[in-house]
Amino acid sequence: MSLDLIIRNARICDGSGGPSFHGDVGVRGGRIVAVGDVGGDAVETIDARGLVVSPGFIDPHTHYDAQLVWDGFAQPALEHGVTTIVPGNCSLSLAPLRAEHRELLGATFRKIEEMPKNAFDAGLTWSWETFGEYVEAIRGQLGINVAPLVGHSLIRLWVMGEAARERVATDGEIADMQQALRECLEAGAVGLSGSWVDIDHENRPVPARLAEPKELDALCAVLGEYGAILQIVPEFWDADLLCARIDILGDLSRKHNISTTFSPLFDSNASPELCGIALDRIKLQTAYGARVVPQMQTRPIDLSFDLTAPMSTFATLPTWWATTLMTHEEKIAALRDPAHREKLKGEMDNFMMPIGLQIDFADAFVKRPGPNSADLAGQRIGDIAKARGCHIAEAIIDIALADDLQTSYGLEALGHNNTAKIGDFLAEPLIGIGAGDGGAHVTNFSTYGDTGFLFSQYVRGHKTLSVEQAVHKLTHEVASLWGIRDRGLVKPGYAADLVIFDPEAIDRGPEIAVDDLPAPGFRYIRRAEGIEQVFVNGRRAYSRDGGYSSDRAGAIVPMAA
Amino acid sequence: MAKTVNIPPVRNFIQPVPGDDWASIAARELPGTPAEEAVGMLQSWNLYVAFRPGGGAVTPSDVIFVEPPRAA
Repeated sequence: MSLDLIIRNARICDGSGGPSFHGDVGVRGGRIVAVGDVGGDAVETIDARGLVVSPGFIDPHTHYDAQLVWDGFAQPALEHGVTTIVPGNCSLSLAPLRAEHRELLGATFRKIEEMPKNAFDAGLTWSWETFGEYVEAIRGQLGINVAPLVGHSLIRLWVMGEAARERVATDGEIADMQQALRECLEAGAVGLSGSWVDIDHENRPVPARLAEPKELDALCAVLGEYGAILQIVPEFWDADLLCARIDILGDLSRKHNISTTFSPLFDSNASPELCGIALDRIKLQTAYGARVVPQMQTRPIDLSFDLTAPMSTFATLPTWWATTLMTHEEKIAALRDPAHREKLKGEMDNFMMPIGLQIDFADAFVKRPGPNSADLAGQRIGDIAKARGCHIAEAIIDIALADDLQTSYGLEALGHNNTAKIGDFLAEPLIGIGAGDGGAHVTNFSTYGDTGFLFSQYVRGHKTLSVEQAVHKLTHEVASLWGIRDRGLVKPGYAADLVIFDPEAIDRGPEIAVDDLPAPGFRYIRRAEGIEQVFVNGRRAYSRDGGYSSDRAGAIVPMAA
Repeated sequence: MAKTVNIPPVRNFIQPVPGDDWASIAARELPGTPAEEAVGMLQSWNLYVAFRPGGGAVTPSDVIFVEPPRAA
């Protein structure tokens, strides 16, 4: 019988981490049916000479929950070779959610994941309450595979209502949460996400943080029934705290026979020994039978900020935060008010970012100037302030005021930028690659292209991983940990999620601003480089020459039995 | 069968019980220390809680260290 597709003469990195080999890949009915020397003919044949064929990459830490409602391809994830995404991280999914809690959850989601309200409101048509209804709402339009998590904060809101934000749960409510989690897992969730750190739009702990240990334990018991995973955000900036959290996850893993993963594992000059200490603790827990896998992102931390909306950059600057929450007219007036400016200056003088980032606003630069500041593009705020004889806060404010606040500023290499050191950690078998946050922080920084960056920076650059190892860490390793069935290997019987790329060219492109949100505004993205073709379930989803397909071959991916 | 292991912590900690505040944790975990001093000690060992936005309230999922940082 003729095949649908044969990819010939490729260097096959099959996802196992073993040596690559040259050969062909045959596809029929969305599945890989032959690997090696594939005879016969096919509807389409691709000559991949000089290129690598690998399993589609799996991104385990994303926040595409909202974007999937208006963009089933999760652009630009697909063009970076990502064929399966895991949304719903950090205790925040979009279901299960009763209609009366949509505004509350929306405000929390937008604050934590930094999504413009106008885009969120314009793009979301809330047609669901249960998790199963959400899955059905997105299923038919998917161009990418989705392995969704359900958020612990959502489960709490579903069972406890607004009390989820106020108190611990009763035993009866915990039992109801267990049942609600079962229903989500039955409907397609691959696990539960939580958070020990996030705060909502009113600076209150997210509901998941109000769970006492026995509640999380009870929910992990349900995860154990289904072989599902727990993802959580710990206090990643402090070694003692992180080790305590690793121990808690280790206990949950052993007790309920579950995999656990936390994100991020983050290197910073503020705590240069932290990653090594955490890794030692993980090794110890692993030796005692626990599965605790940290996710480390490949890219350094770069931020953009402006004065149009609240951004995490201002999270510890209360007057700046409050100012960005004002209406446009109020904001303009406040930024011109001498007394208000004095407060803003004072806060910036005493600025401390509590999560290990090292921010000096003098090092910010004018990233996207308005027409009245075009000559300042790329210039450092500290230099501008010196030339003007003003405070750095005044430079930021006055440049923005000159263009009706439309100026955007950049801060680069704030942490996680010691690439030689990070390369060694990324190569560690016990450290996963993730924490990329795709779909979130859309006006703050580009969360896309971490896969290409892995190859350009750590395979070709520092050479801490081989192509085979890098592919393994992006594919089979993730599928195994997350219990994603029949994906992550180029092997007969597996889903034909495939990437064809040039190993000498794969990279992330430069950060660019695009206006593809469902409402006026922009977001930062990166285009892929060196990715030739991407197939999802055997159908072409993206090609370098043709762009995105209109074919919607994505699926809600099932867990391993 | 789930394994039961006892791995000594890097630094001794507790997790709050419902209704806990600094005073109740101090009374339970540092019983021989005067109340005000005990609360001060606890807060100094848990600055991330004591200085968090919203006034330093303890949440039920927090890790609260009950000893100072150990020497490296």
